[in-house]
Amino acid sequence: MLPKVSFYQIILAVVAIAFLYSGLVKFIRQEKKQTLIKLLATILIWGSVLLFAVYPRLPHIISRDLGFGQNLNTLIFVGFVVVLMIIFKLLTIIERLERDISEIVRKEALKKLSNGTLE
Amino acid sequence: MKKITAENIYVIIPVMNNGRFIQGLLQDIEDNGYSNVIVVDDASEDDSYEKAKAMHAVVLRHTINRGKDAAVKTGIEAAKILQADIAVTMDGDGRHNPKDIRQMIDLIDKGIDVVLGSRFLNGKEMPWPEWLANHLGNFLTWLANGLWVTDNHSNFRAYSRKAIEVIYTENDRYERDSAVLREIHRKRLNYWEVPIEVRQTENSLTRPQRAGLKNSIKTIIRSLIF
Repeated sequence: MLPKVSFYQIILAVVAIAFLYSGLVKFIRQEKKQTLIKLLATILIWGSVLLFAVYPRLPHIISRDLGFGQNLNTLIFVGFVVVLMIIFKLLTIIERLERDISEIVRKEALKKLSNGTLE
Repeated sequence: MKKITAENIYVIIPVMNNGRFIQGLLQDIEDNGYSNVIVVDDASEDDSYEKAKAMHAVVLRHTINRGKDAAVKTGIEAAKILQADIAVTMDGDGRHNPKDIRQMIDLIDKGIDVVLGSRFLNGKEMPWPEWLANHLGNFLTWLANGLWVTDNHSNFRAYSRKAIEVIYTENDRYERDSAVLREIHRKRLNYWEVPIEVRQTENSLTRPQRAGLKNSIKTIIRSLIF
């Protein structure tokens, strides 16, 4: 007997497969913006979504083994960790961009002094 | 050892919209015997740049606003290019008194690497909320940087040639003061704190007074995340 599949499982699985496919294609094409880190993050996030969509009892098994009470709690916890990881990654990128901008502005400000052409 | 004279002492002043005060401050510095001043205009919207230029200072301009600490760092880099033996950093709003530079230079002359100006060593009593915020800030600074100082957020400092060369910071917006303390600890530089006068100018009163605590907390968070 086939297991009962709900509508949300199909939608989640389709969306997750689409994102995974897109990420892999971008990486194979060696698009500049698609780094290995981004690909791994895509596989981690959308792979997890796909896994939970195909095996809806998986959160229950994880939560039982890890000692969480409810399936939903596990999903929320995992989601929270993933979101935090993304925020930290974004913060690091912003910080690096800020530093790079400052360096460019500084070099521009010091150019005439370095050349000895400052009035 | 090379004798330090007024010719190789550079005073670095970051400014942003300080047009009304900058000429008075530059005159004050010159009257105290320091003719080498590096003004770093951090993309002011007023006439700070033109007014500083008219006073024969070395005036550098950031085309985009990058924050006070970024401007100070640009000034330090300029001092390196100009082969300064001592770099003194002070605020552009006139709150720091150029008379206090002398005691800092004397200490550098005696072999101190970094002299830190402290607003809290002059024996004056301060309101308890400010006292608490400062002490908490000092404690967090000690926790994050390993250095106990009485004023973790003073930009009135003097650096020897060695300190100018070895101190490396990446902070742009009001966190350099704490980062410098970390560098002093890491690079094993010797330092000394001296009492400084803080003048209550119209401009300085509009600036945040408890930034020290805020910046100490930010420094700790940064060191945990990055």
